[in-house]
Amino acid sequence: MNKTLKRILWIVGALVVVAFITFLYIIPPLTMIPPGRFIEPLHTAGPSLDSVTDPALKLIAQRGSYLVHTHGCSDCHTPQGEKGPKWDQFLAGGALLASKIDGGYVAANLTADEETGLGKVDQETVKRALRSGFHHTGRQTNYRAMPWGRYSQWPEEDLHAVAVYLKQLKGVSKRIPAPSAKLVPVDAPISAEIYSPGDYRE
Amino acid sequence: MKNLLVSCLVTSLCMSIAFARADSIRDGKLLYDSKCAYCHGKEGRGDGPPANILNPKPHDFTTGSYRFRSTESGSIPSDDDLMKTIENGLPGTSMPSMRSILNEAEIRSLVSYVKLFSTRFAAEGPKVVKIGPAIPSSASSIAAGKKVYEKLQCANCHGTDGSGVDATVKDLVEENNLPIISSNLQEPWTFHGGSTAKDVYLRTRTGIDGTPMASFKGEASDAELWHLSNYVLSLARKPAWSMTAEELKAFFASVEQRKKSDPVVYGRQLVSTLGCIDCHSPVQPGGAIMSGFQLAGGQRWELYPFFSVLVAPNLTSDKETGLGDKTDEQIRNALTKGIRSDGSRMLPFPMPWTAYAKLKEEDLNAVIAYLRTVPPMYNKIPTREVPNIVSYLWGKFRMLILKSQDPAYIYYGNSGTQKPPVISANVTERKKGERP
Repeated sequence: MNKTLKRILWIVGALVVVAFITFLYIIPPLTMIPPGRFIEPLHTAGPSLDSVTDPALKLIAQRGSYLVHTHGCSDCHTPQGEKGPKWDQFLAGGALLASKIDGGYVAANLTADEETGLGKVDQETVKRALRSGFHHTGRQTNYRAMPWGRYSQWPEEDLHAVAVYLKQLKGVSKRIPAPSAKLVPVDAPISAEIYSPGDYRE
Repeated sequence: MKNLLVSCLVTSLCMSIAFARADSIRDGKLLYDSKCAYCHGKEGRGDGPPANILNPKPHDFTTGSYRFRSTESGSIPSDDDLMKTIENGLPGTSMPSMRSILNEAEIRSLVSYVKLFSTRFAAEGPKVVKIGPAIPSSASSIAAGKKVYEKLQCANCHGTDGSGVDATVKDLVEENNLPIISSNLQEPWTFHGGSTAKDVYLRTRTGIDGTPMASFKGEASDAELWHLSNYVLSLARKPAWSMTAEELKAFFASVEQRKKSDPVVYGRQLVSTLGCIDCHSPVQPGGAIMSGFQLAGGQRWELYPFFSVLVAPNLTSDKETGLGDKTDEQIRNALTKGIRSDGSRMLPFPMPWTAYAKLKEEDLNAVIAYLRTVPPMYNKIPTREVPNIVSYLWGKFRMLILKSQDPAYIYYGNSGTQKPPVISANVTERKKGERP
């Protein structure tokens, strides 16, 4: 009797393990999801520009929106949740890029929040950050973490358009830590950079 | 006693001046290291990590040759010139205005430090040009300036309307044989040396050392150069930020039109702003992109442990290892749908095809047209590694059940043909286009 019970328990246990592994295996990998499922949320995220009344400003903001969406700003600047990027917090900051050589950088909050975002930062300073990598506090940012070297190739009018568009973003309060060596994972390899789409909070 | 007093006084005065100077230089070094060295390099050679992707490149201070001066062609600049460059920045380049970051005393100490990089500043003095009386802009002055523009053949490089569209001299090079594009005179907000009448006058009077822009000192009188300056500023078009909605529509339409007529030029700009070069080029461990090998294939990404090891392919037009044998359709699918040429699918990361998916048709065509013109470089990139079943399941378990957000590791070098990464076995030892 005891022996049979033990055997049944073994079989049930084995079945559970096999079922669990199968379950893990058959959950479709991301590469089986149609491309549109990744594309649409990104390109519909961000503010609707219908509320902009000035028609000239609206055209410029639309150009800025096109540049921001197609140049992948959101890859680093939108916080990552468990089910992918948190699109309701579009460009509120989040990803970490770190290396043992340069320390850790967390992508800035680009929304119009006055305390933690770009609400109080003027357009010239935003353009300076895009062109020269100077953060609005006056420090130089790493060109591998924030690729300002690319954006310096934009004509002045495109830089202006991006700065105008960023002003239209809905403010999200999210404090981003200043760069520091403490943000680098302890076990990080010396020769590598680390990209972590995590959601960083102070 | 009196003598002693005087000599004491003189000595202390001299010493205080010397100390103040030493202080200033020490402050300058600290400021330089924190604000300037990242691009211009610790030694002032203009070789910081971002140098190879910036256009124009950061200035090399060791040459002692400066572009934006109020001094004769070939002379060193005056202190005020250097002050002005740091204060105002160089519009249209990555050199920012430091006015809101540094105060005047700090900029002054920065100038004295920067001058130490070249021995020319100790050996010679600046030959400041004598500026004739300014001629205010007026219809007659602009008309006179137009004649000077024709006489000095400015249109050869800048075009008849200043935009450079119909310029006859196109392939200009600056020092070190780097390609340079002549200024678009219709966009004064991009004039590196500033856009006042005096700034433009000085550029024509002193020339821009190290570029094909020469001094016109002997070829036109002072008054003629002032007229020219007024004429150049009169060419300015309206910038987009002060246009009305109707003008903006026309402006955007004209930009689209130019994209269609010259896709390679726009493609080159798009490829650099879209950031293809950031991952698809071999990078030295310090973070600087190896010059001359842009787009020859790049870094290795380890997406621990579930997503395997990804590599950035060679995007040059090499037939065997690059895009040479790929069709436009294949490139388009990779950029907008994340489908590789072998039919497999990319993750939505790290290749940002989800962002590129909504690029306008003309922009995509421009990118493809430019990639076709990238000179072929032989650089065989190892194929990506697909994980084995155990690490695949373990990775999924970590991601879905343990909810761990594992970081991706990015290795410099040439797609990390070896671990730990070593700079390119393939690319560095072979010259452009050379076959093994």
